Amino acid sequence: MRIIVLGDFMFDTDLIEKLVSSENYFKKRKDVEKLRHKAIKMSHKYHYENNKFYHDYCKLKGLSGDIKSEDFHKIVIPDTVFKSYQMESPEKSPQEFKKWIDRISSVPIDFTPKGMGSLESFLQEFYSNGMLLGFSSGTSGKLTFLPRDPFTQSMLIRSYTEAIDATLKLDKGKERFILGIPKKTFLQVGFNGKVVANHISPGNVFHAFDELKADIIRLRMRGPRSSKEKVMNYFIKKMLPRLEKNAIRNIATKLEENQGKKVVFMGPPFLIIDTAKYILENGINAKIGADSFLASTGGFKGRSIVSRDKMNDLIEEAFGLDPKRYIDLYGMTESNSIMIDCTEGNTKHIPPWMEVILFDESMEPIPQEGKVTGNYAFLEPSSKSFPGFITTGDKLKVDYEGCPACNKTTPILLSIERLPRIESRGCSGVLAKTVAG
Amino acid sequence: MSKLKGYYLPKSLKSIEKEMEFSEKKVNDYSLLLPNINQDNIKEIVTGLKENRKKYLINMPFPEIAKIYGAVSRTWSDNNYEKKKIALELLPVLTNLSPELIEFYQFRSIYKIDEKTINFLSTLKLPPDVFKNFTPIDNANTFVRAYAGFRDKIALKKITQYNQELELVTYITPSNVPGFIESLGIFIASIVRASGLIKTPSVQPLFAPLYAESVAEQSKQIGETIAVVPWAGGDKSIEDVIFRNSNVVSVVSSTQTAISVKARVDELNKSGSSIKGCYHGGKFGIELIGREMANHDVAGLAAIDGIGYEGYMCGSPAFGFFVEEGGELSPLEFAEALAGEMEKISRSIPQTNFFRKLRDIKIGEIISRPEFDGGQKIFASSENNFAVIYESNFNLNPIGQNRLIRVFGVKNLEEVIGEMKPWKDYLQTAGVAIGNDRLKILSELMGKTGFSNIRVVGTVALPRLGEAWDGYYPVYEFFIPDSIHWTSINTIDFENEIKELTKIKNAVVKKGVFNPSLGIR
Repeated sequence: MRIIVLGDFMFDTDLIEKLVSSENYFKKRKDVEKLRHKAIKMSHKYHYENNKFYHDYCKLKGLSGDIKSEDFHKIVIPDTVFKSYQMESPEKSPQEFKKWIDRISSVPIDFTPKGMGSLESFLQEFYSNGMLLGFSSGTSGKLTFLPRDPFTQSMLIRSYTEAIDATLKLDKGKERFILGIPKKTFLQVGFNGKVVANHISPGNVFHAFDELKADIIRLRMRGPRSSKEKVMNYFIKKMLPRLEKNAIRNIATKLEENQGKKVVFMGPPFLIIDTAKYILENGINAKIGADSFLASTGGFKGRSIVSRDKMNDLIEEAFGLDPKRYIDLYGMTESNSIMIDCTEGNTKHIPPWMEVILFDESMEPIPQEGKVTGNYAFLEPSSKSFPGFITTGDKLKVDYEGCPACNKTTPILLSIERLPRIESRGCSGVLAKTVAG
Repeated sequence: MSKLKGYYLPKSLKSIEKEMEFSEKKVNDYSLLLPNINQDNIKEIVTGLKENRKKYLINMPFPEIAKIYGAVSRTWSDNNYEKKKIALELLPVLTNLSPELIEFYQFRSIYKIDEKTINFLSTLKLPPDVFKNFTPIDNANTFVRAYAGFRDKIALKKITQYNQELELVTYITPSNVPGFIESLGIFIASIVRASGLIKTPSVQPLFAPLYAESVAEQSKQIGETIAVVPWAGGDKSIEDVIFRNSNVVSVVSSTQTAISVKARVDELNKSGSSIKGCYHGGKFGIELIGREMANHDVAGLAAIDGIGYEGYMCGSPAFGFFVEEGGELSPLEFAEALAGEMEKISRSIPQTNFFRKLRDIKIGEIISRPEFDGGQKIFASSENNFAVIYESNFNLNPIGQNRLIRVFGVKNLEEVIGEMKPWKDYLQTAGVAIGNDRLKILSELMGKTGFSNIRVVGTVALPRLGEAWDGYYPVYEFFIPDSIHWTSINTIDFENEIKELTKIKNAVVKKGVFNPSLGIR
């Protein structure tokens, strides 16, 4: 058994690895629940003892390090915690920002950041010292940062790959990935796609974009704050549509090169649509192998929405792919996991290692039976460097009876709605707004 | 399923009901009928109200009006009154406020609408000294001060409030203080002998119709001069008819709504209408505790202020509780005492889970900041009824809702008041606990800074007779320019008042809020 000792309590990595497994998609739900609850209790205790913020938060609610399953709804923390730092530009106040990270993180950070000019280089500094600060952004431009240590990063990759294993038949090491996301970025959605693809097929991953710097994303999301930023914004605004067009051309060329071959093409839905349209308008033969997969994530934030039916038609026409092999993914910056459409029923499955809690309008937890709709919170014990027990700004409809089309035993997602009180801040939204002219 | 009307029309205008379309809102075992008013309906309503006013209200003697509203208040103070039972069952469902909170803060404010209040307001004449200093007002335990230029002073002198006839007063009412503003709108219209049209908040279109029916039960004549209807805010086809027919449009709502109504009223006035707009947008409050009053009794009353309307009343101390150093209790000890009192009072005036969860979200944000690694202290409720956070460095951030109580230690209160200047447009109430000897000097400073309501600790969410409101003065605001800034102090003797209020607070803790012998101040 591998045990990591940090506080007085140990984080049981074996328990987490046993839980984050594709096999659990098919096991008896009660058995998996038992394992999951054990892991949540362990993870809660670990964070209670190692995370200053979480400790105070639980104490304030009269909770201790030992938690009962029926009290799980009490330990969820608001997602706004991860953007509660007070400074406008973290890279300009590196010590202060580190203090904030220290407070919300459950693992010690043993280096002193210098703040090396840009936000991108500041994030790189953390990353080089073992701490990934993946981010997402709101329309206000205040970025959400999630501190992920190496173990949590490895669990993110594991959660993705185990979910994929349970859903798709991928030939590890041999798959060709074509990604409509940047090669280098700390934007969490881009980072996740990159590391997971590289884990599955190292060296076999094509990126349509080279780099998307955090500074550019922030500037585009919050608007310019100085005359220097105004000038930068002017040029970036001119440059980004060209960047998007280039990416579409690059993807089309790559797909053409892989005619008839198995590829996994993944990107935000607006980029998939625009690529399909480009291919059809230019008469390019980009009919990929029938065993290929197409995956989108993040919705259409900021762009006009295209219905699933229309997308299916476009995908079939442009890529020659059976729409059943087009899967949509639902994830969050704060989560290590994704919910993937099964190919049998095109319904998203909640991973067995995630406990989903829905709250009603009076903020009471809704019993986990049948089809229910409520404000979404999740408990994910695999995060070691921050408590993965989080309330979100999304409203979900979940069917706890599971999927009628496949043999997985997990609950399924029937609909996703962003609550109006929460600003639009999906990663895809960030990409859409950043690259839009 | 019993049907309830989510509107009120005078008997003589009942025929309009036949022309209206309705939707239904289910609340517990009741179905609330809500009319979808159109332009023709509203034309008939305002015309009918104005005609009824001429018939029934214009010559009604004030003492009779006062007697009627006094009787209405007494019926509502009876816990067995059927309408009150319905309101206490359904308002908590619609607003998430607990029945006890609604009784203590809302209904007990309505009980104050009695003969004394109405006689006072109907014969209102403030002495000219109000322009020089805080002046005691006859028949009200209140000081009032007005800040104005020379022209405004002359204008005020010339005003005899009843020389201008008001035919229709329209009130647009808010959702954060369910019930009180609706009842205020109805009775104030009557005491200026105008017909009253009330727009209900969409969150709870329940209370105003019930209250209007109570008035009609006591006086068919006054009942003929009131209408309560919902409509979609900003619907020009409805609002233009209403505004053009109103002498006064009073908005008590969000700043955004107030600004939007003002824009429309200004436009209509430019094109020949003569409408007096009274705008009460969003405001924030503060609690100031002098070192001479930093004691356990005052902590108990401060808790009453923090609980009021879960912090969503415009006077609620959203900025926090500022305690001077050097008193019987240090600011940190005061925070601890306040937490102890919150726990006791929360058992009598409970909080619902809805507000608990909202507090959890805000707390998460606050305590995730690094300054909570030292210098701050949290006093938690064993039953998750509140949170008191002591912060050694004071900051101004109006986030004290949902029983999230922030206590700051300060060297002196004057320093805090000085820091409030940038918030001038959003200031309304200060809950204050200071010795009588400091009252006038500190109040003058607060009035000049922009506060309009200086209230003794424990009464922040319990408005009193004779007070100013948002810098305006009730009834006067219908007639005089807004450029006069009014400030009031709601008691003359702070030290004695704190003793009397503490007795009430102790009774609340001991016997709850539905105790018929619980005093009202």
